[in-house]
Amino acid sequence: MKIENTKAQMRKGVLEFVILQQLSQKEMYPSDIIGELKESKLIVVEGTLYPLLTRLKNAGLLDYRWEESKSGPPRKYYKLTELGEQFLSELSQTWNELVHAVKQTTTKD
Amino acid sequence: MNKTINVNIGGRIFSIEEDAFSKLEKYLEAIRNSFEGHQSADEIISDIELRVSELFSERINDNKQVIVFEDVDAVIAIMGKPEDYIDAEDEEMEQEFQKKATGKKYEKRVFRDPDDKLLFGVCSGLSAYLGWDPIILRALFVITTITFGVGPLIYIILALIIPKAKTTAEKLQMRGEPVTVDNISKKVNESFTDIKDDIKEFGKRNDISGERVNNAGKQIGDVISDFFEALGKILKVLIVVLAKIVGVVFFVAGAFALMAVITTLFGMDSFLTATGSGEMIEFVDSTLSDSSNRGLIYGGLALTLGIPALSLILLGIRMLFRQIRYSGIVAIFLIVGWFVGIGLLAASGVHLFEDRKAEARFTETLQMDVDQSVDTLVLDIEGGELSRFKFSGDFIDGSIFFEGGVTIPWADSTNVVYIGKNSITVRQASGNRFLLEVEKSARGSTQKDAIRNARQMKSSWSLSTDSLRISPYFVLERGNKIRNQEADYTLFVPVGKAVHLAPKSEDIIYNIPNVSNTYDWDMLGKTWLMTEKGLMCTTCPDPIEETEEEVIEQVDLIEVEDNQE
Repeated sequence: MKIENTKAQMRKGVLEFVILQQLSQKEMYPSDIIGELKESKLIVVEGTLYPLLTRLKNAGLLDYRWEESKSGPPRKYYKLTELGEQFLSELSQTWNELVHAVKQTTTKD
Repeated sequence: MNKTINVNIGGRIFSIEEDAFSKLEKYLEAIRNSFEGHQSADEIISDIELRVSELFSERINDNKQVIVFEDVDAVIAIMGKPEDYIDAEDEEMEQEFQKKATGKKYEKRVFRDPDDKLLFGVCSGLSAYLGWDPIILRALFVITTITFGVGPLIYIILALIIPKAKTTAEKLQMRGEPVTVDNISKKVNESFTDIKDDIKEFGKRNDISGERVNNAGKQIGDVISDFFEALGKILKVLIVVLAKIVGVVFFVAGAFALMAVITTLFGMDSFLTATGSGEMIEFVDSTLSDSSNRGLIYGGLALTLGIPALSLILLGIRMLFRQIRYSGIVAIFLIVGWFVGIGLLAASGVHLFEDRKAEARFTETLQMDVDQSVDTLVLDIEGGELSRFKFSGDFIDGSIFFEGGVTIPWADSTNVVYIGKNSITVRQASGNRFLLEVEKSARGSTQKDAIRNARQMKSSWSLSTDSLRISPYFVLERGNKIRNQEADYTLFVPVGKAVHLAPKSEDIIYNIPNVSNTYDWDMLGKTWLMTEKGLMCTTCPDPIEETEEEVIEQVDLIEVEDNQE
């Protein structure tokens, strides 16, 4: 068992949650999202994000609109759909439970 | 100096050095490949291109107008390698990627199968590759070992050159299943129990290594236990092979039995009817009340005999092919069918009994005028050699079943359905004339029916001066019923007159009483005089000699007694 694999699994699990969380606060385009994720080390390379966003969009959790940019090509601005909101609130609940569970078990010692 | 080209990336024109461009092109191509077949491939790739375009834009300014090799490298470092693009949550993509990753290995390959091995898994591995049941190759191995002795050599060579399937991917390749996430997880689940066993084994091995302080004896023990394990495996193979052989035997035996039942019951019938003779049907029908009863008997026999044969075939198939399993319905069908057969036979048995419950027996005196001048009547059979030897059929309880092509002098042979055997005995006549009587008996559903059945018998006799000829057989013509008909003749001989039994009359004489208690067989060819006490042989050797011997013996005894005094 490799520790890297476990770490990757844990990150993968929360990645969707974090992205939805970010988008619930404001509309963002991928570069913005990546910036925050990179800071928190949830994403190492940007490539990972694009298929993920597409999948969430296809699942109806996200929607996007095009916006022209002065410095470069037009950008896709993503935002949460109503379904995405529901999804996120459920995830939040689960996340809180998990945090609680982890806290409890780790503070026991 | 480097050549630069202008390219459109994400809707923007970039000047890019040639080597940088070729690197970028390869990179994008690799990404495109990894998304090939994905429903949103185009969208994802265009998103990526947009991002790349954005990153390039950040890297150029008034002083640096051209994208160089280092820029591409930097962008790739930011974006990640093609395999980093794989979204693990997306199963479709994962599968596609797995296919790509294994590349040409997707083709079937030969491995030794460690999960289904008896020795080294050569046979099972090859079988998985060929899609055969491993038992075929194992049997071949055993056979070549026994017959040519080359089996083990080939096996060892194969064991050495064929690699063992170690990973799940390899096991899948061995079977030719595509190496996809789905299949791998299926395979892993399948071998879960095996893994448990492996863990146990691992534990055992650890135990062994822990006790390796004085391991010399232990190792010998290991070798011995390995030997017995191998021996057990070989035995297992032999047993399996034996089971297959028995399976073949069962199958063949069952098939033959079934064929025999079908041809006997239906084949012969339809064959005979088709060829126009139909004698078998007529014979069978004449023993029954009507042809519907024949259906009962045939159906009953077909089920009670055919079902065991069929079961044998099914059992044989089951032993030959392990994967074949019969549902309970088959067994129920067979058992119910068999009991239905028994029921049909019982029903037809009731019919058979009903048709025979009454018995009739009556005597007819035949008009036979023997001239008073005849002192000795010769008893012979009618038809002589003709009627005696034309039959090749069997005698069963004194009766002969009809066979086609028989000539009976006094009957229309083609119209005969049954032939029975006549018998004759000799008695003392009360008057002074020769008399011939015949007692006929038969069975039937009623007394009347029985009498009618008895009267259907056709027999023949003839008298010429001093010779009485009686046919050895009676016949039943077509349309009549076979109901235990019997015809017993009695010849009454007046006292003072004699009967000579011609040698050929052995076919018909039965239980003729005489004063010397001579057996029927010994009475042949001799003349017998009717006395007040019964028949007495007149042409036999004089029995007085015997009496003399007895007298001598008696004398001897007296002499002995004298001596003692």
